[in-house]
Amino acid sequence: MAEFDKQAFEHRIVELLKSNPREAVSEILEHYGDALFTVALRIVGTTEVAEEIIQDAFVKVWQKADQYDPNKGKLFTWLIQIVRSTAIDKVRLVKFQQNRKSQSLDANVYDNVAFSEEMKVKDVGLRRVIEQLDEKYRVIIRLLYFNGYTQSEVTEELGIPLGTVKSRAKIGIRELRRLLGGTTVLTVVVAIIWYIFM
Amino acid sequence: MDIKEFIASGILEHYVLGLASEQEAQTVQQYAEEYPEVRQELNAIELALTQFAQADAIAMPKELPNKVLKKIDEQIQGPINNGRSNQKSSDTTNTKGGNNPLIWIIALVAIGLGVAAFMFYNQQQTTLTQLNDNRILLDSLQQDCSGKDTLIDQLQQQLRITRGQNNQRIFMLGTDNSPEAIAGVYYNPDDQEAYLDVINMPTIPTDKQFQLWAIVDGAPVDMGVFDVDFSSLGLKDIPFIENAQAFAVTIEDRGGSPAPSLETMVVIGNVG
Repeated sequence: MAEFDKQAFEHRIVELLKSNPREAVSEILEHYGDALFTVALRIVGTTEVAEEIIQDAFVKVWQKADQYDPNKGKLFTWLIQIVRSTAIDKVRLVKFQQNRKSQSLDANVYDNVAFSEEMKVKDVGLRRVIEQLDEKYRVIIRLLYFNGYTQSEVTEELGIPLGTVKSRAKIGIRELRRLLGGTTVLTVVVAIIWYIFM
Repeated sequence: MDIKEFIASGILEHYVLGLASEQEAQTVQQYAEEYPEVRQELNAIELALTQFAQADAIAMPKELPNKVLKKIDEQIQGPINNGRSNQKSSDTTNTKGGNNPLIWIIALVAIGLGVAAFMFYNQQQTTLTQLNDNRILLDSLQQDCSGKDTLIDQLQQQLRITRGQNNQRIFMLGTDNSPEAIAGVYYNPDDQEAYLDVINMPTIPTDKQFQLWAIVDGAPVDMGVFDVDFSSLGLKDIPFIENAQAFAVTIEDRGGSPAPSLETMVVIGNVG
């Protein structure tokens, strides 16, 4: 998904969250549903529970629609925080805690049955770009951003010092941006063309 | 703290990934409000992570979106509307206007394009000037070249004449009037051609002209008048006359004279 499309999409969703939150939820699901579902699945480990998480999380999104402030962060960050905390609360509630780590971590969730059977990657081109990112960076980003691990959980899980976690997090994101950057110039051009003709 | 250093430190990446301490997080939030470049950097980081999440995603069950919407509909139809009563009254600020990063991107791109256009314009002007200079140079070279062509033609023609078989070269040597003067006539009875070759002639007033004479059967025959132009090396084409015994040049009034003035004779030479 091009950066510009995201900007336009987020802009529209921000409007919708105020005027018609149900429609906003519908569009968010269409756009980010898979990514958010995958985040939930990573944390809880099973499709059934992940579905429940998504339902609960989106009711919260609908309820808190007027609380989202685009000046404080991007839409997806807000959404992932809601999904993550809903999932983590659920895991704690059901006392899944130990399972959750070993399951979702080991560390490739793609080895997990729940993942492989429904494995259907949407954006193959983007996926290839992401795959160029060194695994050690991917793991850190997944644990922190998708699974919502704290820094001590990550150091414990991976057996590396906090300094290394921090430096890998920083380098990982910069590498990620560099890899994604190849598409940015095109995106800007598309943005200009769109702006001119709209 | 310098903003560039602040961004380079990695604190923004740590903030977004939840690795920042509470104090660091506050600083980031404060800076993000104060400095657009910090906000922009945060956006870029979040965007990259969003793309990562999407690349990492697998498809959710197809019916899940409907389940979600159904659950929301239950909430809407529920007795108390679950705390969504105020949502319509919320403020509608900060969606339009100067905060849209797209506007910034477009503005930057527009400035970039403007600068590029200006540079291209300058470049084009320079190129046009150079092109014009080159055209002038080319014209002068072409003229030069065609001048040289003419010269080569002349030289080839002269070479042909001077090398011609049965060609006689008659030297006309200076008289007492002008001992330094010297000229020649190429005389070819076979081809019936004759050429005058002026080698050295005295300077004469502008109202005077040289006149060439041939002596045939003891009598002078007018062969025409000429001016001396030492800038041209050409042999001068002159009428061919049979049985010439001698050639001579006199100085006459401009336009020539019907009979030669012997006292103004500058050169003379006999045939054979």
